[in-house]
Amino acid sequence: MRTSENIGTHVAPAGVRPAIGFVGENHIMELLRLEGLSKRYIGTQALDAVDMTIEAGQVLCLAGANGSGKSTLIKCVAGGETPDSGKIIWQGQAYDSLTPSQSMALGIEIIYQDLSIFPDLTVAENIAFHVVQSRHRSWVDLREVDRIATKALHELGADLPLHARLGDLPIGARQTAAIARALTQDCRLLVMDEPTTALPSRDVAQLLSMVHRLKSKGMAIVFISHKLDELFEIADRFYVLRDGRKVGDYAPAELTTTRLSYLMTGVEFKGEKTQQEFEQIATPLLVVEDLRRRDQYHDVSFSLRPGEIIGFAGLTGSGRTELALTLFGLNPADAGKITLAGRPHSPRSPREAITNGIALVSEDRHGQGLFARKAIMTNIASSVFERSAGRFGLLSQASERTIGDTWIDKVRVKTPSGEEPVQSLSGGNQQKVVLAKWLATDPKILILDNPTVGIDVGSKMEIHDIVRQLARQGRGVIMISDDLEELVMSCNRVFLMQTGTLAAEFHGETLTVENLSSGLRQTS
Amino acid sequence: MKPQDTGKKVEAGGATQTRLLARLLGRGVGSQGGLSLLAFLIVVYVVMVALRSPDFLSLASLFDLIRSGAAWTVVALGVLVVMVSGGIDVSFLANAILSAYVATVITKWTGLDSLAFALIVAMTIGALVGAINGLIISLFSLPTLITTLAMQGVIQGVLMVFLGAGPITAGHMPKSLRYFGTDVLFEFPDGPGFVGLSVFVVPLVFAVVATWYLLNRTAIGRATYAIGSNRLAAIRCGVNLLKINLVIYAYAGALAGLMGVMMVSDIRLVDPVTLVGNELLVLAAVVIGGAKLSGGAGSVSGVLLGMTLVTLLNNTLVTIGLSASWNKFFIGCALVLIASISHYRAKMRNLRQLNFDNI
Repeated sequence: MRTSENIGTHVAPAGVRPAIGFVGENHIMELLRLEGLSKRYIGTQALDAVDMTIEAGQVLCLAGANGSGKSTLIKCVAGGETPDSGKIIWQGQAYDSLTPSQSMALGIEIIYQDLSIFPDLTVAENIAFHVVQSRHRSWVDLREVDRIATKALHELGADLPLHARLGDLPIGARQTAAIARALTQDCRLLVMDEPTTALPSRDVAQLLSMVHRLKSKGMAIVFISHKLDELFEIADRFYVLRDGRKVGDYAPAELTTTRLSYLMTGVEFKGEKTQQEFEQIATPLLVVEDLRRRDQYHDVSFSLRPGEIIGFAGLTGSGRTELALTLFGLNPADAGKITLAGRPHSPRSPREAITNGIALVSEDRHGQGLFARKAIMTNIASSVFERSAGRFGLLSQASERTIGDTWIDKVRVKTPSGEEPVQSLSGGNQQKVVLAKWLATDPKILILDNPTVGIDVGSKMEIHDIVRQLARQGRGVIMISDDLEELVMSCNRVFLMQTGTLAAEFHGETLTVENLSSGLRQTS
Repeated sequence: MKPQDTGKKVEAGGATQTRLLARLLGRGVGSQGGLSLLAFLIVVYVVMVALRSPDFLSLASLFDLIRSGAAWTVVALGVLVVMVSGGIDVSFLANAILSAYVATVITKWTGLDSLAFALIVAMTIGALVGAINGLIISLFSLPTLITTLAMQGVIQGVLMVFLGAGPITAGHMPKSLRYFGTDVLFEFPDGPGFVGLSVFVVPLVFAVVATWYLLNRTAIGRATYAIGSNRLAAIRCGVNLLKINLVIYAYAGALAGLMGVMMVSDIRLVDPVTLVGNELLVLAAVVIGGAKLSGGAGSVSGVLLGMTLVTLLNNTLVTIGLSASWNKFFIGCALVLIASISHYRAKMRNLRQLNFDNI
């Protein structure tokens, strides 16, 4: 039975905490060992005799492209999946497989990408949820709930309004609550699946400092992220998986981001600038003058020419996304002028923007871009369904398939057929489907909001290729990104956005990752 | 350039208007804001009725309101618990009449003419039927609407075919039930006669307190909100869906049984074809009170306010010179109004976080 006394063990300062792990032999601090773990799904060997050890007080970064077996590995440890063969050894005790409640009872906590929080409950209730539910008592003592929550938050060095509805708080706060909840369970191994993907950049630093704090208390942390620079900031060890096999176990000093990309994909990438020439004299596709929206951005002026890729760097909340949404008709400006191919443009709805040749690929492809259960071809044709409709406005499967197949081919979606549901694809391929969906509308201007977030290195390069090709065809591209390297590699010009204004412009020689990041540092 | 300038101003004006609207409606995010609006609507309506017929503002009207709303509120509280979990129950009225019918027959048959005995029998049968709902829903992961709709049909079939139920008239009803329908807790002299508070207030208060405690102060109640709020997360957190479903559907069933006995005592007739068909009215009252069909939201105070509005309309439309047929019209309007406002609120909240899910 878990009681609040158990939680107290975490508060002990680093070092005082009793060593966890069984003492004896030579693995004093070893917490979890996987031996020859294999799992086969129909058609794929998801895990192939994987060995792995995790020690207390260590941050292990699990790196691998989509489909490398990371998720399967996590599911085996979390207890959702039964391995075909191999052993899971927790503090010397061997298991063939774990059930979810067994795994939780051992002290393994998983924080999934969707956080698994309850938006309608308060912060305190979310944090104390496990304790309240696992207790052999049917009534709830609200003061105790508050005590548990306060204690867990204190341990994290975080502060949240205890009685606010969690769904009303920003994503960073929800993440903090999810981590705090894990702490109430006498957690010894915390697995964080892409915790920073949805997080604004200013919250990332806070998250990483929480990870440091937990590590110093002796907790083992498995950290999964596609943002390689982040990994280098916190990793004690890298563990690389490819196609279900262990590639290796590395100390951060042995690796660079390029080397890590290579290990993950088996493909060498040259990280060079590949900007292209564009017609300087052509009429601009888009001119924005003195655009403003109260509390979001002001005095924004820029132009976009055919064939040009312009970038927007800046912190979340600097007005980048808000500006993009204005161009797309979702967030009307209060004042200012937008001229689209010589004609005034002030879209009041996405429909109007799309008709005028603007497409927006949003950051959140799960929530906004795709119908996950529907076929790939249906998804692609959905943006142009008026066009794929036949007589009497009925949808024609044949034209859906033609449109689907054309684009699957053009953006190189890896799939056996267009009839597979989108949810069967990896993140990178899903993002290609989102791109294809918008490209099918034949946009003149393509707005990309963090187009490669949560996507593995291989697919990322392919998406950059597609974007360059689009520009070459005379389209204009606006790219918003937190990935400075991505901006430098793809864009002709990059604007640095700061508290709602365009603070600086970088192009040609001045467009380097160093300049951008020092500009960003000044903003914060 | 001039025409364009004016165009811009109009646009800016539009934006200000939108913001004003947002400020008016967006105040007090969360269900509390919605409830104060509902309370406001009720007060406005009461004032309207009182202007038309000043005697309306009396203890007699209040007692009458409580008496006629009590049974419906009791059953609505059970519906609330199911709706908080993200489910929906449409079998509750069929369940109520089945429980009351069987309880009446058993009370007569055993000769144990006691109200407590009838209530225990009715609530036990109601809870059993509800537990079957919960069991089917959990074991086969069936949609709650389909399961309870099927249950409604099965119950009516059982009543008609197996029990061969015909109406039991007042003369054949146990005495304890007839008294339950007319007894008062206390009474005051009022003009020529007396005005009394119906004993129905006792089961009403019991249901209100029990439901509030279940939802807010028990682990099962909080897990019910959790399931309605994020089902997948609840499963990952090790919440026992079978247990929770059994408890909440059985609870809703028990309240349905209680309501059934109150209803038959009130109308002094046990007729298997009454009640069924009014399910949507109860669901409407619960939704007007702030519960969401998707689950995770809703409160006892919301149900009380929602039911007050529905009962008021039911009782007083004639007073203000409208026929009772307007009842459904006004309830429909209230439902649309409240649902639109809560949707608008959620949208504004999401917009602030740049989330366009429900535009």
